[in-house]
Amino acid sequence: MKCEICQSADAEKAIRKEVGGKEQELYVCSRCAREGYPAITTKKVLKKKTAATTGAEVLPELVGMMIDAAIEIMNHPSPSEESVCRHCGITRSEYRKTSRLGCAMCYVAFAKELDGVVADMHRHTQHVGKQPRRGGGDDVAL
Amino acid sequence: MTWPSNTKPRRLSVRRIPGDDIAMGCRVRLARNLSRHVFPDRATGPQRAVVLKKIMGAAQAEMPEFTLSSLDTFSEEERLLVFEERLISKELMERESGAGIMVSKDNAVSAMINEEDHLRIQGFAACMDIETAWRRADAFDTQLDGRLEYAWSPRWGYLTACPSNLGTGMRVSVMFHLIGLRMTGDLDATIRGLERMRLLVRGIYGEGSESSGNMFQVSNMDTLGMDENAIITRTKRICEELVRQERNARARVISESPLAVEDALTRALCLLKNALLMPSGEAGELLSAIRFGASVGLITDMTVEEVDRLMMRIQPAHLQNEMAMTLSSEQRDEFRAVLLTAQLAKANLRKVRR
Repeated sequence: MKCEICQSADAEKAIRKEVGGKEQELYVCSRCAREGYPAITTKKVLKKKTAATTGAEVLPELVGMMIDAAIEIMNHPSPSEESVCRHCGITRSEYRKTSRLGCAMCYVAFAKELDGVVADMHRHTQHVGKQPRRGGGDDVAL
Repeated sequence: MTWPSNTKPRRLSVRRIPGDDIAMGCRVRLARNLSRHVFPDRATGPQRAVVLKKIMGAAQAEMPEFTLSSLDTFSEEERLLVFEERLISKELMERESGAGIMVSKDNAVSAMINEEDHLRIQGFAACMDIETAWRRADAFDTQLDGRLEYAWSPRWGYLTACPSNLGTGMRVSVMFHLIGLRMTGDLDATIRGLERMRLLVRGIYGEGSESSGNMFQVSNMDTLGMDENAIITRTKRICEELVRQERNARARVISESPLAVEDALTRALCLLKNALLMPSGEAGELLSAIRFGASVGLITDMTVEEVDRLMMRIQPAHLQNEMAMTLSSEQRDEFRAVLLTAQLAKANLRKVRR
């Protein structure tokens, strides 16, 4: 099942969280479990509101929901917005989960992110040393 | 193309190139991938089979003297056996399909196909002779390079499934027996120091494995931005210092705690000579002490090389191979105990001068 908070990643664990003054069990992805978004309270409360809810009650929750939505967009891009390698089909979140890329072209697809990762990892960003006699046919963009 | 279905590595026991009492041997590993092919983890079974066929075909043409095997033809026990020989990693052993190995006649060069990367070439050499290990791996790589198109970019070098192997794709590893530093209590600080100098410290079966019998694999962390010779020189310099530290620790523990040393060796010898059931973890720890005793002359009539061979023989798949039958866990512990009792019967303890 999908995470009950971000609705995008797969749920991996159950957490207990107070929602609208009542403790509930939510099935969430590891990231949402770790980061504990304030969105839980407002979103769940809004879902539970009935048509009788007054405007004064709803307004602060609407503001909260907008902030939550912004946080979610920043932290959990939807699948349609997520970077995908066109050659092997791996998504950024799949790569992040395993730290393994799907093919050589992923270095082009995720170039922006990998720039920083590689620099942190190796403290260098330029290869020196042995070179193949041929090769690099699909990697000229790098 | 078909490859011989019944080809298995020639000698399936005791293949290690001898090392010394502290640096037990070294390896240079090169990670390579084929251009325009999905990396093994992401690939489907048929995609991995295509890569296997390509690499096997190139190797057969270039290096007919190598034994080529598809692990798909191996039983579970046979896979475990080559894993215990450290010819393949745990990851390759567990690959459901498309995994392959190539081994040279003298067992000094091997290659894994469809592990984390399409090709992982391994050159082995004695002690800390990293240059020889590199020459062996490099020659193999260069030969295949003429027939395969590697994934490569001018900026990031050889492109690998995990960015931690980018660049040279080279991991230099030296296997150490660090019982002296363990006994003086300096081991943890030493490992932290190595990590600060950007060396990785792992167990004997590599990534993800725990240390056993005070044995550790030390390897370079950085693979990008330094050429192969610079990586070798840097890694070797630090490893030589580690050998000095371990040698000093051994001398110190013998001079400062002779009774404790004698007690440890006596206990190890008694248990190994008399136990009726001997689990592999315990055997590894006890043989580690015996290895130390043999190296400093406190255990007589037993050489370090003999202890190393025993360490290989007492592993589960090796025991089963020797007995030519599948054994239960208790049967393995029993046979291990019998084997150790027989092999250590001749070993004696020389009293530590106090």
